Amino acid sequence: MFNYLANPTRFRKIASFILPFLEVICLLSLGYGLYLALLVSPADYQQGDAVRIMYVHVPSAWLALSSYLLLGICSFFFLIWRHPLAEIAARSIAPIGTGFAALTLITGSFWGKPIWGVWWVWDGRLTSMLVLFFFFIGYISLSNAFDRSERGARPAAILALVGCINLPIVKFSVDWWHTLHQPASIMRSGGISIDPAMLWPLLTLFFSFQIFFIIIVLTRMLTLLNELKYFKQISSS
Amino acid sequence: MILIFFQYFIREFEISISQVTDILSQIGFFILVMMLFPLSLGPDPNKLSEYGIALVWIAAFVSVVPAYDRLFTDDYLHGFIEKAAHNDQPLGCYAAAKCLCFFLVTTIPLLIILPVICTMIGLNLSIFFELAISIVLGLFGVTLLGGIASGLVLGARRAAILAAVLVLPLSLPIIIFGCMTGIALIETTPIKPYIFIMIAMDLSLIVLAIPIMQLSLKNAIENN
Repeated sequence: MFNYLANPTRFRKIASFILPFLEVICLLSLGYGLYLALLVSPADYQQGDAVRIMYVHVPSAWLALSSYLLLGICSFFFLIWRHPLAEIAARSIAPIGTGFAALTLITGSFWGKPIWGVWWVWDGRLTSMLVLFFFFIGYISLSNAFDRSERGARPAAILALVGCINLPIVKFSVDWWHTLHQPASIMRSGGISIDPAMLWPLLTLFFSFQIFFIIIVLTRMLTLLNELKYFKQISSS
Repeated sequence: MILIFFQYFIREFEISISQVTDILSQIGFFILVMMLFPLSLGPDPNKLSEYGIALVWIAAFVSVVPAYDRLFTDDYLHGFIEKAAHNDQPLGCYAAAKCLCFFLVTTIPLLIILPVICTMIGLNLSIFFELAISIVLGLFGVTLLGGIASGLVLGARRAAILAAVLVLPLSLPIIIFGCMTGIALIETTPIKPYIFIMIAMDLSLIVLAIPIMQLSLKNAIENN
C-alpha cells in the first residue's frame, strides 16, 4: 500500500482525483459544523457564549500536535529510506502546522481574556504550545537556510525528530502542572466529560478541519512536485 | 576508540588555549549581560538577590549560545572533518571531544568569575557551591544541544541566529530545572531531586546527542 502510493506519478494522479471530493466534503461538514456550533449548541452555564471559541480552539490544537507528529513520521521515513515524497510531505506539512499552532495560541488568548481575565499566562500548556510553534519555525527556517534547497532537507528532518520530545510534554502538561489551563476532557482515562450537545459540533468541526488539512497538504505537495519537475526540465534543457 | 577521543580532545584543547582572547571575550560578555540587570531592574539589592539565581542562569546561558554556530564551522571549512571521515575515524568521537573541550573552556572561566558576580548582585556565598553544580550540569547539557544545532546548521546562511533559534527551545527543560534548583536553594528546600533530574537529562543527552551529531556531520560533508 505504502510502496504503491509512494510513486510520485501515481501519487499525483490519485491526489488530483480525490481532491475535488475532499473539497466538497470539507465545505459541507464545515458548514454543518459551524451551524451546530454557533446556533444549535447551548451556551455554557458559566462561560456563556465565549465557550464557542472552543469549537475552533480545540480542533486546531489537535491538528497542530498531530501535524508535528506527522512531520516527525515523514522525516523518519525520509531519513531511513530517503524517499523524496516523504520529504515533500514534511515540507508541505510544516507551514500548515505552524498556522494551526498560531491559531491555537491566538484563539486561546481570545478565550482566556473573558474567562481567565488575562490574555496570556505562563501556564505549562500555553508555554509548551509556544515551544511547539518555535519548533515549527526552526524546522522551516532550517530547511530554507541553504543555498541549494535540497541540502536543507536532511538537517531539517533530524531537527524534526529531535523536536518530537516536545509532543508528550504538550499533551501531558495539563496533568503534570496543575495550573490554569483545564485538563483534557475528550481523550482521557475515565471517559468523556463533555456533554453530547457540545461534543457533536466539536467532532464535526474537527473532522472538517482534518479534511481541510489534508486538502491543503495535498495541494502543496502537488505544487512542490510540479516545481521540482519544472526545475528538472529547466536544468536538463 | 578512547585513544582517538583523547587525541582529538588534546588537539581541541591546544587550539582553544591558543585562542585566549575568545575565552576572555566570552567572560566579558557574561559580565556585561549581568551588568544589564541592575540597570534594567533598578539597583535595589533585595530585588536583585531575589531574582539573582535566575539572572545568573540566563546570563551564563546567553553568553555561551552565540558561540555555537562556530563549534564545527572552522574544522568544516578547513576540511578537517572531511579528512577524519575519509580516514574512517569515528566522527562521533570527534564531536564528543569537541563538545567536552568547548564545555571545559567555557565553564571553568565562568566558575572562576562566578563568586565575584554573586557578590555583586547580593547573592549569599553559602549557596555558591550548589549553584555552581547546577550551572555546570546545565551548561553540560546545553553544550551537547549546541553541538546538535551546530552540526545541523553547517553550511547554512546566517548560521549564528539559526543555531540560537534551534538551541533555545531545546534547552528549555534544562533551564527550567536549573532555575528550580536555584529557587529551592533560596527557599532552603531540598535541591537533590532537581540535581538528579539534571544529571539524568545530561546522561540521556550524551547517549542521544553523539549519534545525532555524527549523523549531521556526515550529512554535511556528503552533501556540500
